[in-house]
Amino acid sequence: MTARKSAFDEETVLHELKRFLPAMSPSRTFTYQNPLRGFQDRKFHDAAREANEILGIGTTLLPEEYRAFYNSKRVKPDILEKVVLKKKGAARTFEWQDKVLMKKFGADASPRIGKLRAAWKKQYKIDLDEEVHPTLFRLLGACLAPRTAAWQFPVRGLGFLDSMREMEANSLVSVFKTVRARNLLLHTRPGIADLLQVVVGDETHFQQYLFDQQFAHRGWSGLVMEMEDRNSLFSEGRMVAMYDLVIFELLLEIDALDHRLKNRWQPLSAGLAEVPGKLFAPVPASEKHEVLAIWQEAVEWSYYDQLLSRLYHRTGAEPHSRPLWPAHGRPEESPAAKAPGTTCLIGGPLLARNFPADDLVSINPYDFADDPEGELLAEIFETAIPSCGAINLEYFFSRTGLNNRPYAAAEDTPGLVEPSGAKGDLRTGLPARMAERDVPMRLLCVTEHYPETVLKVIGRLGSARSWLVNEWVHLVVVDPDTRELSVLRNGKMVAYKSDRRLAAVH
Amino acid sequence: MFLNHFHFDGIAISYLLVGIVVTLLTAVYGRRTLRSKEQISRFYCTLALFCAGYGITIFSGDLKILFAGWEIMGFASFLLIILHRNITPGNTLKAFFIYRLGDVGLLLAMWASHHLWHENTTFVSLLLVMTASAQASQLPVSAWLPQAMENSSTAGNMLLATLAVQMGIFLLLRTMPLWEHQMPIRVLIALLGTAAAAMAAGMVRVQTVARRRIAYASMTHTGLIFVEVAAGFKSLALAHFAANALLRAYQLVRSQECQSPGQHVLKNSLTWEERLPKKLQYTLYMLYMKEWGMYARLSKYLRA
Repeated sequence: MTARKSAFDEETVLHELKRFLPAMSPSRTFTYQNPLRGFQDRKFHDAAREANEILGIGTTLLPEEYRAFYNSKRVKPDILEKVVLKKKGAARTFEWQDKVLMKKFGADASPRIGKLRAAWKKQYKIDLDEEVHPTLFRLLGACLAPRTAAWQFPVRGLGFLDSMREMEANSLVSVFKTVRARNLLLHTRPGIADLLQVVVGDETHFQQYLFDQQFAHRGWSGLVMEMEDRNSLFSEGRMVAMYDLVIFELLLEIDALDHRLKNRWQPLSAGLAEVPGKLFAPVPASEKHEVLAIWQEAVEWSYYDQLLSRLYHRTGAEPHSRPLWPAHGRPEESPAAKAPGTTCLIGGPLLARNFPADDLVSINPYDFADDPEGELLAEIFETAIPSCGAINLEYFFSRTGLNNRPYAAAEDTPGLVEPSGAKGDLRTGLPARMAERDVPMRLLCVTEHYPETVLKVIGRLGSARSWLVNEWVHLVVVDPDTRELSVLRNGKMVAYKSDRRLAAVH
Repeated sequence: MFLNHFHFDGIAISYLLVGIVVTLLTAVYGRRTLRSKEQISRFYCTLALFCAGYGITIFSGDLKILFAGWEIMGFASFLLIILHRNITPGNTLKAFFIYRLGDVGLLLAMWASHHLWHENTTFVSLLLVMTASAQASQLPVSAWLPQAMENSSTAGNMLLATLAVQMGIFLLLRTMPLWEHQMPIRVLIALLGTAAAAMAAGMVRVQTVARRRIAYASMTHTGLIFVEVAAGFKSLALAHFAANALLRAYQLVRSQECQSPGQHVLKNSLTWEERLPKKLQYTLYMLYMKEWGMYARLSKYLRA
């Protein structure tokens, strides 16, 4: 309708929303993306903390799970000590080790998402999700996955909202229970802001309300987003867009409120007792978060250390193919269930033979001698790191997310467009069967070059830069002359010393 | 004597055979699909409880024993629905309320059959029909099955959609001597069955979720079996019941096993609904999509 000059801009908010929604593929092929790509500009552990506190995504294992790794010797005590030392300094090592190993932590507080919209329940004792979701999901399902029903959605060739409008205009039975929502759909072309004015009232809450609303069914929203982004004309040329979804859901909400409360309701912001804090305000690091970050590092480096210790003095010796993790850590059932490896190699065959083959996710033939300025290396970084990293993180967060999947069903449905779980939302992340036995570990990228050159290369990188600098992927550089290892930490190359350099060879 | 309380006939044998097949299938299948150890052990305990209730019910020789088995079975069904302990007040509890409703009907029927036996068999029969229809997810409280199935695990669903629901028919068959001479009751049963079958048959066609589709398909056929029972075709009803139960179990397993994208071949030919005039077609579609408002109505009544 009218172009408002205001703090609320539909385009921006929808765009913002899309950054955080999980990408759901309509076909059953997974397209890998960093599930936390909205937080990609933060450091890994900060992002994990924020995603957990703000959106309620499980980003770490439980402390007990990590401690079980420690007890089964999969986390090496000396590595853990090193991590604590590095993070907390020598003076506080002892204190923090105690916290890491012993301290009991309570359950997580509920995430920030959903707090604003929960006010409906408090003020009017109405559960909008329960009123709106069944109808919404059924209609979305009929539109987006039409071939599964024998009698398909009758309107063809229009967008979701237009289809509903056409349906509404011609059907004797309305989707809505009350008149207002029906008239809004049929006779006006309301914008998101217009409807939010009715439902929420105060413009400052608009964005947060939309986040709450869409994240209440993040699976469906993610699917709609993906389909819009890929421009998939799904069936019969029917298009669906986030915009349609939001408008229609708001209409259903108005309908539900009108129906249940008649005219005894006001916009949400009118009676807001306590205004929930800003959704994306900074999240302070609590002790629990720090402990979990320490554990995660310790798990990863316990494993990487074994890999890297083979890189020393390895000129003619036979690479031994002993499995690094105890066998029970790996899924042994079917090859499909196996998680991909955790190492991405950029180097010659001499480097590659030091790594167990099943652990390599990608090998990029590269010779530092041909590339003194690192131009080729930059290219390889740009292509290999975002793609391998995304696969890796998809497994990572699917595994960590198992503990607090919002809709933890008793089992898995392999189909993506098949809702699973109590509330009918689509399941996000990989199927539990693929994720559950894997130990979540970030990708380790190993390359052979001079550390200074690699640093310069990183400075020149485009999209891959944030992956490396923010430590979503670990980078280890082997100096070609000295064979010394260094790790990229906080944007600097730090020498890496393995204590296991002698012990590793049996 | 104790044994007098039990009864063994063709109906019991049919239910026994189908029960054995389906529970074995469920046992095998549950092992493969359930995720955590905790759930698996919980599942098998519940399964055993369910079987006990089922056994007692189908061999019962009088209403008292039947009621005992019925209670155990209802309890176990509810435990199956909430196997993952994800209790949502609006949805899961619905099944529970419906079960209780059925129990009340059965209890009243027992009481009435003692006291009003000669005066008023119609009342007893009515109560029995009510119980049977609630259990079999027929009208007027037909929405519980699809909802329960949506929330439950596949293995649990197999028991629900095949055995638990079909116990409604069992109750009718078992109590047939009571009502078979009352024409109004027979007409009522047939009408209930026809109406439910007609409604559910339409709903099957618009569902996109496999579980709900199976639930409605099961409901359709149960409706038809009601009609057969009312007409007095006992053997046909039994055969239909067995076929329905086994087919649903098979469909449930299949819906989980193979969901390849190529499975649904796009049909270019129009279905009969699509040949209807636009207005009628849209109206019918919306009506079935909203499930005749049954959901909403049931939720409204059961809202605490």
